[in-house]
Amino acid sequence: MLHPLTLISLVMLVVNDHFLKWAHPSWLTGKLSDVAGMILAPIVLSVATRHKSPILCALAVAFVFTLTKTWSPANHAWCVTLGPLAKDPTDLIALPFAALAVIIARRSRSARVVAAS
Amino acid sequence: MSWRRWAERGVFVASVLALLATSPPPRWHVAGTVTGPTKTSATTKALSLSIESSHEPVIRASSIPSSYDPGKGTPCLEPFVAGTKRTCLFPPGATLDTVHMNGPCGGGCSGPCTPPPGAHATVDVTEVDVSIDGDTKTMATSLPSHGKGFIASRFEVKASGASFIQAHMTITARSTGKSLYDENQACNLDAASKHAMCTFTVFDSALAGEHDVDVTVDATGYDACPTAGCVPPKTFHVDSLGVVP
Repeated sequence: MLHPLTLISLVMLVVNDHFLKWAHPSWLTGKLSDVAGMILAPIVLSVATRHKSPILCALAVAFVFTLTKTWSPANHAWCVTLGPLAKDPTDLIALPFAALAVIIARRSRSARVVAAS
Repeated sequence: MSWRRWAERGVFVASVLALLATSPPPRWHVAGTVTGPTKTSATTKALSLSIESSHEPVIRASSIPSSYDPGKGTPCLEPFVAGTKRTCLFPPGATLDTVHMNGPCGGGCSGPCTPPPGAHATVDVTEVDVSIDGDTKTMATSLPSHGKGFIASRFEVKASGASFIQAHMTITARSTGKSLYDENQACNLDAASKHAMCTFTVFDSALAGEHDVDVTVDATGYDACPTAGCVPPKTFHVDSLGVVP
């Protein structure tokens, strides 16, 4: 969780969601949170599952993200239960960033294995 | 446990919160049309608002005490019923700032956010003469020692018989007479009892370890007057003062 990229993603998500989107609404601020979330969410899920399968975590996040960004019923379900999420298929541009999450989670797992042995 | 483990846990919790607590949902917004004066011209005058609106409006007035829930705006003691006129009274010194309505956008999170068809609010403001009445209630109480997790005591004041009601609550230590708490508040309409209700939250830190206290509420009721200098209708009184268990 303390990887620099994780921390940058967390700060970027908070600052963008609660300040930049309102102060400087633009295409860029619309995508920044998606990119940050796509890095952060798989890592959080990976930590919660004790790094059993970082790839599976990234795939799960990517799958839910794709559904909510492209399919109205999924977007509505997310909106009702967890809060607003724009249904915008162009946000899928953030999907490749999930690969970074996999790399970070795998490194974290390797570090734990080394520390344990 | 090392600092690193604690830091990891902290970042994990912060990340979960950041992922869930994203931007607030968009809301539609319609400003009300206000005609008439928005300020009182004398200390014997009040503002009487005749409001007709499709949805319950948020009224914001300044230079009067705020209510327990300032987010809901300045309280009106006449209940809202869609499509009917209601009258709200604001006391001498009040300034009407805005009247507006808002609500969540329908249709999920995408698409344009437009107000519902027919959303409107019209406000006719007139300056009226005002009668002012007061009532006081006192209570001697012993506040229990709070265990962990409790940080404050809550007091409720119910009053009725006026168009605008504000309450001033003070708490003094019985042993020393030292003032521990002092707050002025505009009372909200309590939908269940139809009374005006003021809620005061008194933090344990303000009581400075004192448990035996005297609580005093000085409430003031305002009513529109048919003629200048009229006598208050004598309907105003504080119904109850108590600690919420």
